[in-house]
Amino acid sequence: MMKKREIHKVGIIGSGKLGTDIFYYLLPFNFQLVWKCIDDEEAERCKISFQKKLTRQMKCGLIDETAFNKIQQLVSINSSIETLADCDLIIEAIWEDELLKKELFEELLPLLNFYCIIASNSSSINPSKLITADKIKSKLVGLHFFYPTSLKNIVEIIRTDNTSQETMNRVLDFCKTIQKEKLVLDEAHSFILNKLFLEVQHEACLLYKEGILSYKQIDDLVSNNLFPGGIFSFFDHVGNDIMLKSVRNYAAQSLEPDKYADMIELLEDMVAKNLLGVKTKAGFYNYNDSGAKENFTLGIVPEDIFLESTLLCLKSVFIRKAIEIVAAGVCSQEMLEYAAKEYTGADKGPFAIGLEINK
Amino acid sequence: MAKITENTRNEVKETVYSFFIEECEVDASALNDETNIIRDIDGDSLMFLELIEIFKKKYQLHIELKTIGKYVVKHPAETIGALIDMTMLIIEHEDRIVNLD
Repeated sequence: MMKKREIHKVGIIGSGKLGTDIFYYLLPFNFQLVWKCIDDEEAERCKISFQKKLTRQMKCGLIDETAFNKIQQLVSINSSIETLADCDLIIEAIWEDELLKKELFEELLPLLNFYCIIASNSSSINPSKLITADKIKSKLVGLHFFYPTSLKNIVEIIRTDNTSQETMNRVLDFCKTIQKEKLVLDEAHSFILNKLFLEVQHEACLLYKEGILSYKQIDDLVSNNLFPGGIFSFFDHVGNDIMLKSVRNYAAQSLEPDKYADMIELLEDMVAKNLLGVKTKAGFYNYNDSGAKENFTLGIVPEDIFLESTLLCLKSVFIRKAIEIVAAGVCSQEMLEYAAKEYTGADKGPFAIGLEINK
Repeated sequence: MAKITENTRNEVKETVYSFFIEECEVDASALNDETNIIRDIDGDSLMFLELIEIFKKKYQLHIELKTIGKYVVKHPAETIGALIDMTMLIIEHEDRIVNLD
């Protein structure tokens, strides 16, 4: 039997929030890392930031001088796509745009060595949509990290119909090395954690549209009873433009593409007004004054019984979708419970919440 | 559990201020305890995680990043002063911080 080729050299493409986070997460694992940025200016910015962080780590005793020198030797940050040529694994983490990703891969593929695995960190586009070249299909996977990577101990591995077992074995080994639990999914059930929460997010949008509760009231209800943070606050932190692109992609993959129309309409409205969230300092909440403030207040104080039934409605949607996922054989109940807790940072996953309601 | 003294607070304060001066490339005079980390100096959660790693090492704290993450989501520290206060709580309570309301 041929010896499995180990992953030594990892390329990361993209220096946005997640690309940067993945780069710094992988740093202590002794891979050779190539971080490819969009242009020279961005590469220079990332290099300066990297040097600053590394020097500070040494100054604060997090690493010694030997490690400092070793890490410097293992890392290359630049804007040249050619430097990715001899990587064993490349993780693409650029802007969530199918066309941009396709163009990137078209440029990249002729440069790659035979053994290189291509992993897309997309959170909503199936990997097989990004590359059609036959010779690379067996080495293509989705590898979906969650932000912040060091706090979310789960990755989704998305296997296409053509991903080879050898590729899967190497990616599974990689995940073990970087100490991540993994959820292995096929493309029909890709991005299952996002889709699980999409149901709750969609329900929250519908509740808002009913006009009885404000964003803030719904968020307070959720953050005090269900997840550590609110739904609309989450949108703001991800970026309403990114949320919109992702939800459109999920809708296109869904058997009921019109199901999320209300949510899409709400997000479209936010994007049209340039209310993108934290990055524009205004979204569902206003970030221009001290702290997050509600942009839209209805001024109604709902009765407790209404809030209770609203919470039950959100919980039911969450639990129902989780049951559907397990019933479809996507993963075990235990795995989904664990993954959902990692994803949200909540103490209880959908099944524990279900048991609580039953009591 | 680390022993908290007035000196501990001064050390934490100095580390936090030095960190943001360097990382966000701002003048020391531009920072005070009321400075909003995201709004005023473009700070982010990765900076916060790096700071926590520094304090974990410095005070040999027994606490997982994930535990801190859970606490932070419920009790976000928006200003430098709030971050210093939260760091003091982390040093004092370590992984028992989740039990604090």
